[in-house]
Amino acid sequence: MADSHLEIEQILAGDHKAFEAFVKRYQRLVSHIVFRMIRNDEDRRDICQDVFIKIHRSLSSFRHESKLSTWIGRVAYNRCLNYLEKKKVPLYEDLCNEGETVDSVIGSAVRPDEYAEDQDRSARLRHEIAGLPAQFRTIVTLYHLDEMTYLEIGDIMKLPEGTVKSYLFRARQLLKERLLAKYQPEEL
Amino acid sequence: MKSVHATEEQIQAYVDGIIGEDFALLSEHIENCEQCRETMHQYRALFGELADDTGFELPAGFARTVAAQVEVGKDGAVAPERWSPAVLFAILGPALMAAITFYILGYESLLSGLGDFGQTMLGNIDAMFTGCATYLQRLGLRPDLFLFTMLVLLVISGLDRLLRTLRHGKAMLLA
Repeated sequence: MADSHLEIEQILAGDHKAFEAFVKRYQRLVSHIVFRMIRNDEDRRDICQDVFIKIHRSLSSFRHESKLSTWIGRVAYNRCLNYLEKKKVPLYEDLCNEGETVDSVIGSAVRPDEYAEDQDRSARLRHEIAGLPAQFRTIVTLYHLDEMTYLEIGDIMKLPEGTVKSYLFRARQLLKERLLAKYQPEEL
Repeated sequence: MKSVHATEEQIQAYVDGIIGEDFALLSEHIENCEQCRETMHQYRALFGELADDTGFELPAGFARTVAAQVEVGKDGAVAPERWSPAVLFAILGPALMAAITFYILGYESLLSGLGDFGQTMLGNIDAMFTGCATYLQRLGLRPDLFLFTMLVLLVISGLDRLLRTLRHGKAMLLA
């Protein structure tokens, strides 16, 4: 915590190198969120850049009440939400009609398959992940790649811990089912 | 546990290493049940793949580019924001309250009680109002209508901001 205080002070004092080191340290987390939330490849890099510019602008308002990584994750997540809103990407809750189950909405919204038979294992998985709702994709990534807890993920995405847990379970179950529907169990 | 299969949720938690009260029982069941063991292996393989960090590559020199962009003095430079929203509200809030109080109580009577200083202020405020009104009239606008429109836009903007914040709190996006 003391290190982050010092680092922030250096950045606020205009230390160019300190900010560069800061970006290097957190670009992995930011890219995980942005690349999972945003499908358009061309916009991803610009959004990652925007996120760090916004972080630089508002670093003085960081109160150390949460972990720095969680705060950065929240900035990145909110930037992605703004982007999706501008692009008029429908909200998941808007698609949930009364009486329709969550899983049926997810199933109906999945894009048609375009995968190649000879794709390698990780490419196949990436393809299936891309078919999940944005929030599911992000939760799976933050949990498995960034090793964040339910609480930290909930803090970033403003979701209750139980909801994060439930979405993670559904996302992984869907991934397994979809992969098994296309490939043999030993190919997983 | 032996006669009934473990649920998918239990198997996921088992592979995650989240140990609950029934861990020993669950572990024993998975060891002895071929179907649950198979599911466990499938999840283990899936989780292993999910933990593989690929497909998130930012260009080399990304950090340097971003740092150069925010460096003060360069094109498009952005200085760190020192004015937090709390500070702005702390300044704007009392100012707005003072303005409303002035309006309700009647600024003429308040300022006329302050002697020469009050009279000067009154003159300045009158001149400012008259100047603004004249300017708006030259533009073909009615001052009272203009003020009302600005207030309505301000309220709509505030409500929109509030609704967006509330909605994003529960936003479940489907991209």
